[in-house]
Amino acid sequence: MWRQLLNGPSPDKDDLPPSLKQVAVVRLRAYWAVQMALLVAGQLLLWISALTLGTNGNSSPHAFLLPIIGNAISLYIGWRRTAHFLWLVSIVLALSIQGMLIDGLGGLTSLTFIVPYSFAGLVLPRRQRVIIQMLCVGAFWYNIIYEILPIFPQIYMRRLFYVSYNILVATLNFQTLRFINRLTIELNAIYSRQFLARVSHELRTPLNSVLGFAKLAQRGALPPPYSAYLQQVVEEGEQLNRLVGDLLDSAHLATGKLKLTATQCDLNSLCAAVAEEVRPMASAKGLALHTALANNLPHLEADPLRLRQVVRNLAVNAVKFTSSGQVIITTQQQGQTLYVLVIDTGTGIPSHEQGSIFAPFVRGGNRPQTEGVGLGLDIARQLARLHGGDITLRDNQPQGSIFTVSLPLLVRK
Amino acid sequence: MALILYVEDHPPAQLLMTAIIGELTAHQVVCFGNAETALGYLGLGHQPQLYIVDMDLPDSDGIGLIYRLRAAHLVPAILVSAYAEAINIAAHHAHISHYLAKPLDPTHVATIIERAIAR
Repeated sequence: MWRQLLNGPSPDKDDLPPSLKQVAVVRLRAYWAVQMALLVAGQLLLWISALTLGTNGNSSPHAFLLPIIGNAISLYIGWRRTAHFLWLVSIVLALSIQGMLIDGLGGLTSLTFIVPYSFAGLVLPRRQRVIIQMLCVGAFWYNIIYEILPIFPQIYMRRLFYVSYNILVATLNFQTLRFINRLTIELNAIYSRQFLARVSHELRTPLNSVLGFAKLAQRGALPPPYSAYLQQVVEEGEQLNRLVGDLLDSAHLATGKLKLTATQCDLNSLCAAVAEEVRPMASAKGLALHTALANNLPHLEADPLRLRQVVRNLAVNAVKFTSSGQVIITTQQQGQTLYVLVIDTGTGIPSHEQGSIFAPFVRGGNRPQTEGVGLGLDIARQLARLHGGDITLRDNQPQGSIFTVSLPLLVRK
Repeated sequence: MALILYVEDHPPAQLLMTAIIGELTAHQVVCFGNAETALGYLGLGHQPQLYIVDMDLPDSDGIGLIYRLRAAHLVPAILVSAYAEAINIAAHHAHISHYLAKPLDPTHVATIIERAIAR
């Protein structure tokens, strides 16, 4: 978040595709139009207030000139898009100077109220933001009612006017800053998504030749050591391809751009297909892979490719982390929910790791020899959640783990 | 034996498709590096039984080219792409009968080609 604030988006990079560049330019123009309107409105309010109410003894003749210069500088900085953070600092400083020069208490108001209020709005998640902002408002009014009014009862109305003005500007300011922040995050998401799509395309293009020609060459009967070498090329190529797919899926899930194409699908045949797919991998390790499928399972409204990915990721993981015994894929129905259980007799997952095992790039037990980057479970769980379900984990006594995918038959829209 | 028109700008991918079709099917393939030469080939009166088109080409996008090819001569078309998102696009187009994701699996490609030509 802070990094984004400091660096800001850079929509004038030449390597962006034109459509994205246009989107960025339109959004930035809209943003600057709003910002200009707010500043002009704020200045007008202040001028009107000064002309109708006058200023107090602390006022200097240059009071109205300085903030205009300050705002001009901040607008210039913002327009150059060098750093939003500098923009924020300069606008707060401009407001504070303005407040202090026009009204002795305005600066205090700015510093104790606008700064924490704005910063809280920028950097905190929703719940903390609301709490901190409520505290700011509370502290501010406490300050006015119990500290300032007893000392200056005679200037009550004017104080209140300035106070209201500051609140208005702070709130508008804060909302605009939230807007930039959201824009920055959105743009970054667009860039990273575009970048990942591009990179995965560039990785798959050479992979296409590597894997395609290797598979074709396998059709010619090569003498023993060379056929094994070629088999390695194909297997490693497939592994690389899965990794590219996982990275792309992970990025799409993170930005909420992964769309499901739902149809009626049969969970049993899907699990059977996954079992067939994973069985060679299990037998290579000397493991038995069984399926225990429930009878009369109703069809489910889901994306079959993605659901298959969920079960496959769990099954592959189970095989990966089991050295002896068996892996069982079973389906169940309880009320309006279907369950897929992937049960293994592997090493199990220690209780202190059970919380973090679903996080991306976390791999069980710190085993460097196990292939993969640790995206499988994260993707599987997010896909299950997109289907309105979830994945939970519990121990398989005395040894191993049970991963349970729950899938509601009626998905809440 | 059918004639297949393949449009792809990446030479190794052209070579791979030619090898797959040559080794695993009894069909013939002609390759083009861009949309204009492919349309020019149809303009000469050739009548392929299947189009295979890559998603990104130097002078057109794959889907646009499939529309133009099918407008000139109506036969099934297969879209090939290394972009994972292309599958969503392909699913919504009546003009695209099948979708192939790169990296290509030779046996799968051969199956899909036979299926598309049989349509």
